[in-house]
This record gives sequence, structure tokens and C-alpha cells, in this order.
Amino acid sequence: MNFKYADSYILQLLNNFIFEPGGVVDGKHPGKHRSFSIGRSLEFVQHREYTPTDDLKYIDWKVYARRDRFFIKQYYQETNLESWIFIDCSRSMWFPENTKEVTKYEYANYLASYLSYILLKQGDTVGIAKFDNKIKYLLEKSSKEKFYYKILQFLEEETVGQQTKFVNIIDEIFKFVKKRMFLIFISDLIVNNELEIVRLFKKISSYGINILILHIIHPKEYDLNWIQENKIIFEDIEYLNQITTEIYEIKNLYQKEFKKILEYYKKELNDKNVHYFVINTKLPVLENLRLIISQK
Amino acid sequence: MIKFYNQYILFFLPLSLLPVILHFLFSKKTIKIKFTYTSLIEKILIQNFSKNKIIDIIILFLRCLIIFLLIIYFSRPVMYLNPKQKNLDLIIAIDTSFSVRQKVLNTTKFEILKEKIKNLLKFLKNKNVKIKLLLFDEDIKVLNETFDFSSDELIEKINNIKPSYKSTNIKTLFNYISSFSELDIRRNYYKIIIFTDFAEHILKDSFVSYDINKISREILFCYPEIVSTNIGIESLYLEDKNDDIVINCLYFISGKEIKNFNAKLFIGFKHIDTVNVDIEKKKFVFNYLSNEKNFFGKILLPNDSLIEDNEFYFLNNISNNEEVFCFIKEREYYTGFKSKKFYFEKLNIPRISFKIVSSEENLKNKNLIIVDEEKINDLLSSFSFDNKLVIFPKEKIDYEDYEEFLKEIEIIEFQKDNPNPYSITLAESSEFNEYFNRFDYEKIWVKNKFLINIEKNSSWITLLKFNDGKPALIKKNGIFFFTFPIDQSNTNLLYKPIFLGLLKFIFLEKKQNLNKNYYFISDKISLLDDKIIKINNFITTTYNIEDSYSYEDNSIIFNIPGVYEVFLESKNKLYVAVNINPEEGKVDLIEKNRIKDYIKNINLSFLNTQKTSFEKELYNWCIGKEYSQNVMYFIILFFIIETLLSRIVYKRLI
Repeated sequence: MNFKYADSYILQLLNNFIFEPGGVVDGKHPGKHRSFSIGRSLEFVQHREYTPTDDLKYIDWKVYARRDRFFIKQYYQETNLESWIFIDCSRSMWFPENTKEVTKYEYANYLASYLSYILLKQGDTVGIAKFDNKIKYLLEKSSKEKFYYKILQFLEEETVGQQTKFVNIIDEIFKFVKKRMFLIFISDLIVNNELEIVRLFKKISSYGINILILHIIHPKEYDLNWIQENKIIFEDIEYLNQITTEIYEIKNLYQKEFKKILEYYKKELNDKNVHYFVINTKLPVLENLRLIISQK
Repeated sequence: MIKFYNQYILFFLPLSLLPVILHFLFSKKTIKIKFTYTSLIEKILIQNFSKNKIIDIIILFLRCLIIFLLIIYFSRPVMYLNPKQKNLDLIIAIDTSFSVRQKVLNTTKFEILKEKIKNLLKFLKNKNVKIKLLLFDEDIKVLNETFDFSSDELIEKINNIKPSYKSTNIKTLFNYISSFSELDIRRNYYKIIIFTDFAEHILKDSFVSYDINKISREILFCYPEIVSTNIGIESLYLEDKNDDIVINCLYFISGKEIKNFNAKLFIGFKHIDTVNVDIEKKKFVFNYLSNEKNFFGKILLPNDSLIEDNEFYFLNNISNNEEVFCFIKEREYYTGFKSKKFYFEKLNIPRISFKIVSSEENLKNKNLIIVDEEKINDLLSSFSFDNKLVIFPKEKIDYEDYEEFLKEIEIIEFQKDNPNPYSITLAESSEFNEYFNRFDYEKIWVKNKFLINIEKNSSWITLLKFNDGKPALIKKNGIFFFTFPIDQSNTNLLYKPIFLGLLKFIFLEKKQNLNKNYYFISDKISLLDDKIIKINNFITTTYNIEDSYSYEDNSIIFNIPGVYEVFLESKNKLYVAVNINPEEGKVDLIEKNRIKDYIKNINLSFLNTQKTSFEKELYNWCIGKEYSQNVMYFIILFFIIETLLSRIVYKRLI
């Protein structure tokens, strides 16, 4: 069976990839990630004095021989990662329209596909959702490897959304997301107010939720040199408003302002629990994935 | 009140909206692009709108303004002076020279000018403009001494004026105005209108260095732009070849081109000969075979627009043969071809008889002397400057030995790159040049004549130069000095025509004006110490003889063309042929730009009287002040601002 967003060659390469969310997680099943709770695993934490309710098999007999007192040996519990991938399917993600180039939406789907593949492969639980002004489509999380086919089917369903409203979707997210879960947002972050986005993401992270924001930009969006004509009517794909201007007047200023926004996101959205990456669709997906994984 | 000289140009005023139209025309060519970050673009536009848009609007406005002002500039705005507030002094100078007699259909140029002046005077009535009327040809005549308001009296004066036979001398006019304005310091601003036909000698060398700045006024030239054909005699000279008199006529054709024409020779009142003049050649020749040596004659040319009887009068006066003493020191056994004497004896110049002398004693107080001797200083001590002395240096003489003579010579530049080995350049003496031009020597190519001013009268004048720039013939007072010797074979004298030409020039150079074949009107004819008893005009009696001439500084000046018989107190009779100056017949319109070159630093305007809007423009000029210049300053200023702003925009876009 052929899927649009799964290339067998790339999938083969991804088998060697290990994705670490960074920090502790709180999964239901044992896994490869360090858990907040202490249990059985290889990673030693501390010694604690024995109390009568403790299991005798955890007593460190070597310490008893030296000290003549009972000490319990404690280890971190290793658990799996519970993650959610949120794909922005608003209208702006369909840029560039009516060309043979890969749209931002398609690129986001590729990213989601391969990320979920890596996560499932390492036994993590993956849930996936598409959103615009609300969460539109949701695929409940699973850690089974076969679940990947479901994800691919889910991604292939083309959905053109409306305008993005992060406020709405954050409220919805809180309904099913728990502490120490791992959320991946793949979006172009086109909103009227950048401050609002930063505020919302910080709010989520303050609940102990790990967030990875993948900001998708198309090369045509930050460099306007591809426009040859001078007098241009810019029609917004998402908001449908029109702006008439002379390209030479705004070209340089636009580029500066665009850089400023990216710098702002980079500065504000790189926190303890929040990680921000700019994904340029000019680069191959695999390249971007390598960058994300290596920098994490 | 603002008026415009070229009102029709104002129809182009809507063109000043061209930048706006173009702006909108190009703005229409837009393309639609579907995009994402429009909010960012909107933000940029909002932030920069005020600055960029204002600059763009200013540039657009400036461009409109520049075009608007350019149209205003070409329409020549005139602001009328308020007559109640300001007095204007106007000098109207009217050309009354001979050339204004030129016929134009049923009238003459002068009548046209008169009509225009009368209309101007009528217009200026009741305006606060004071007028002074001047008539000018070679002299100035003032019609009203003080500046007067325009009145019927002034118009009547204009009615009564008639053109003279004299030439135009615009320099005299400027001299008069200049001296007049210096006297009347209180009046510091005049406007001058010169009604002329431009057939003046304005381009003559005398005018070149004229200091016009003294006047520093606004001058308007009003001229009738009418081109017609005129034919006239430029100069005439007679050659006496035994019984045959050759009459050489150099003529000019001015204005439109014409075909070949007939010229008739009259001796006395009798028709002698007619020649068909080929206009390809510059001169025509009559041969008059007669025993009669003293006569007056005329050349009759076809009628032109200027003169009804297109005649040129001349006289033939025979003077006694001149004796030329040739002082040649050579060994007595030199005879025949080896002897210089032999060649001097063979020299055949009409009315000149050569006498070879070998003693210095015989030379004292002789009129013409040719010397082939190195002891020049001895000769000079006994030489009177009323005589003529022609000096040939000794054979094979070193040129440098004559430094004494040459150090004062004014050297004129020679064109070195001329490959013609026979070329010579004529020098300062105009009379010599004129004389020399008449010889048709083969292989000798005479370059354009040119004159330079000799400040010191006493210095040597170079009459002829060699190719290398060295002087060949120099002159000082009555001494003519050939800088090269008669060569060994003596052939210079006979076989090189240049020698003959030069000797002819020297011998026949007029000692006095009295023997001239003809004069022009206003030429001064010196009577020396003699006085006039009576004057007759042979040709016409229509004019009062008293008006025909004037007498000043012991000279007589004729004002009307004709042949005159002057009875002198010394019981001698003097015959004079007087003609109109040929320059007056050259009515080709002078280029305005050339006049501008001659009269610098003054606001010059030109107005064609034949123009339909002539009167309107004339009145505007008289009582208005033109602001085109000021408008141009604004155009330049706005253009600079526009350029600077465009540069800012350009930097922004790049």
C-alpha cells in the first residue's frame, strides 16, 4: 500500500533515529524515557533507610555489610512518552497555491508522519490532530506500531481549514492533555498577535507539558524577490483581505520585519519545556528532522 | 496684471497633469498574488505610509509644477507696470540709413517701420511713459531733446522724417545713448527700442570691442524680416594699358539667388558696352578704348529692391608719370642679363618711369626711390617721409643682420599646416590687401584676409609673409623694405609676378585721396588748405546742391550719390564720384545670435515687425516686465529638489 506521506527509503533511515523529548515524562507503560517516578530501571538515584513496609529485595546488602544498617537502593522508573502532534490545517498552510511546489501543509504532514514513525518505533504513544480555529480531526493516541498506518491514512485526508485561533485550541487541548505529555505543534504561526501565541504556549508549558513548536515557513514567504512586477495586490489566503502596494517599497522592510518576528519567537519560545524550530520548506524533510533531533 | 507674449502656449497647460496621468496609468498595471503574511505587509505600510507617501506625493507635485512652469516660461509672462506708480523712459531709435529704402510691395521698409512706431506712440498716449526719439544712420539726430509723453506732435515728427543716403553705424547710436545716460544720472533705467533693418555694419571689426556695458539697458530690436535681392558694385578699379583702359568691377549679390544679369558701361552719358555677368565669377571687366583719359563713367546694373537706378559712378584721372629712381650699386661691367640695371630698365609699370642712378646725391628729395644698398642708415638720414623708399637688401645677406629693422614688427600668426608652397598670408594693411586681391596670379593662393590692430603707428607693418612666418615685405611710414635680396640671376624682378604686384602697390599707393576713382557717401575728402567756391552735380539736379554735401575739418563730405565738380579757391577743379556704400545694399539679415555675441551682458530682445503678434509683443515689452527668467530660476530650483527627493526614493527601493 502506497501512502503519500511515507517514503520507504526515508522510513528505513529513520529506524536509527532516537527522539528524546528532554526532561522527564510520565507514561503509562514502561519505555525508554526517564520518568518522574522512582521504580525499576538501570538508572540509580539514591539510598534511603529501610522502613518496615519496603520490599526486602531492594535492600542493598553491600551497604548493610559495611554500615550494619539497612538501606534501600532507589532507581528512576523508565516509561514511554505520551505525545500529541497538532497540525495546523488553516488556509494559510496551503501556500503556495496552484503550483507544483510542496505546500506548507503537505510539508507539515511529512513532518508529522516521520515524527510519529520515530515515536512509535521507540514505543511511545502518539496521538495526532489537525486544527484551525478549533481541533477539527483527532486520532486517539496509541503506541502500537500498526497505528502508524492509521496515522498515514489520517494525514492523507486533505482538509482545508479556516483561520487559525490558538486561544480556542489551547482551551480544547487542556481537556485531554495531561502533565508531562509531549506536544508537537506544526504550524506557520500566522496570527495577528505574536504576543498572544507566546503567552499561550508559555501557559501550556507552565503546566509541565513539553512543547515542540515547528514553525513552517516557505522560502517565498520571507524573500519577496520572486515577484517581478512592481504594483502588486496581495490577497491574503486566510483572511481574504487585499493590500495594494509597490513591491520595491516594501521588499526590504518586509524581510527585516520577518526576521524580527522569527528572532522574537526564537527568543521567547525557547524555554525549559518549550522548544522552537524554524522549518524552512526549502530543505528536505529529513534534513529538518536531523536538525530537530540533534538540537533537542 | 499678467499677460503672455506667447499666449497660445498656455493651451499646453493641461500637460502639466501628465505626471499624475502617467502615475495612474502605470498604477493600473497591477497583478494579484495570493499570499500569507499580508498582516506584516499591512503593518509595514502603516508604519511607513506617512514618510514615503508624502515624499511620493511631493515628487509628483514637483513634476507637475516643473512642467507647468516650463509652459509658463515658454509663454513668456509679462507683468504690466502700474502706470500710476512708475515712470518709464523709453528711447526709440529709428534707422534712417539708405538700406531702409528697400521696396516691399507697394511700400518701403522705412514706411513699415514708421507705421509701427506711430502705432506704438498712439498706444503709449495717456500711459505714464516718456519718450525720446532718435534718428540714426552714421550720425545721430535727436527729434525731441527732453523725454516727452507721447503726443500728436511726436507722431507728426515721425511723419516728416525721410531716410538718408548714408550708411548705418549702430556704434554711434550706442555711443550717444551711453554718453547721454552718463550725463543724466538721475534717470537710471531706460528701455531702448531700435527700429532697424539690420543691414548695418554691425559685424564689422570696429564693433567687436565696443564696450556696451556702459549702457546696460534693455534693448529691443524691431526689424522687418523681408529678404529680397540686391546687386551692387563692391569695388571698382581702372588699369591703364596704353590706349586701353580696363575697368574691373567686383560686385556682390545679396539676398535671394539670381541668374546671370547684364551690366552696362556708360562713359559720360553715352552707352559704351554691355557685358553678361556670370554669377559664378566675382568680377566683370570692361575694356574702353579711347584717347580720352579724363572722363567720368557709370556702371548700370539691373534695378533691385533698393535702388531704382542702380548705378555706380567712377572717374578716371590721369596723373603725370611718376619717376622712380633706382639706386643700384653694381660694377659697371655688369651688363645684360647679369645686370640688375638691365632688369629695372625692363620693368614696365604704367605711368612709372624708372631712372637708374648711381650717386646718392641724386636721390635727395626725390619722390620714389628703389635702393639696393646695404648703407641704409646713411640714406635714411637724407630721406623725407613724404617720399617713398623701397629697399632691397644686398645679395646673399644674412637675415639676422636686419634685426634693427625687424624688432618692432608686429608678427601675425601663420597657418603652418598649409601644404601649399606658394601660399602667402596677407597682413595688416587693408588697403594693401584690397589691392593685392585684384591680381590673378597663377599658383599663388591668397588666403582669407584678416586684420590685426597695430597700436603703434610708428612700428613696422608686415605686408607679406613667407610660409615660415618670416616677413617678406614690411612698411614703416614711407619706407618699404623687402627682407630678401634680388637673387643672383635677378629673375625675381621680372619673372615672379609677386614682385611686380608688390612694386605696383608701392608705386601707385595714393599719396592723397584726391585721385581716387570713386568715394562713398560720408567719406571725408581732404581739401588740404584749399577752399570750395562752388559745387556742381553732373548727374542729377533734383536735390538742392546745398544738401548734397557738408564741410568739416577742411574736408568735404557728400550725402547724395552723384558725380560732382568742385571748384576750389586755388583755381583747381576737383571731380568726385560719390556712391552709396555697398554695405547698405547687403541686406541679408544678420543672425540674432551673432548680435548677441557682440553685445553681451545686456538684455537683448528681437521682434520681427512682420509677425502678426508684433504690436502686442512690442507693447508688452514697453510697459511690462518679463518674468521668464525668474520662472526659469524656480524651474531649476524645483528640478534640484525633485532630483534629490527622487534619489532618496531610489535609495529606498534598491
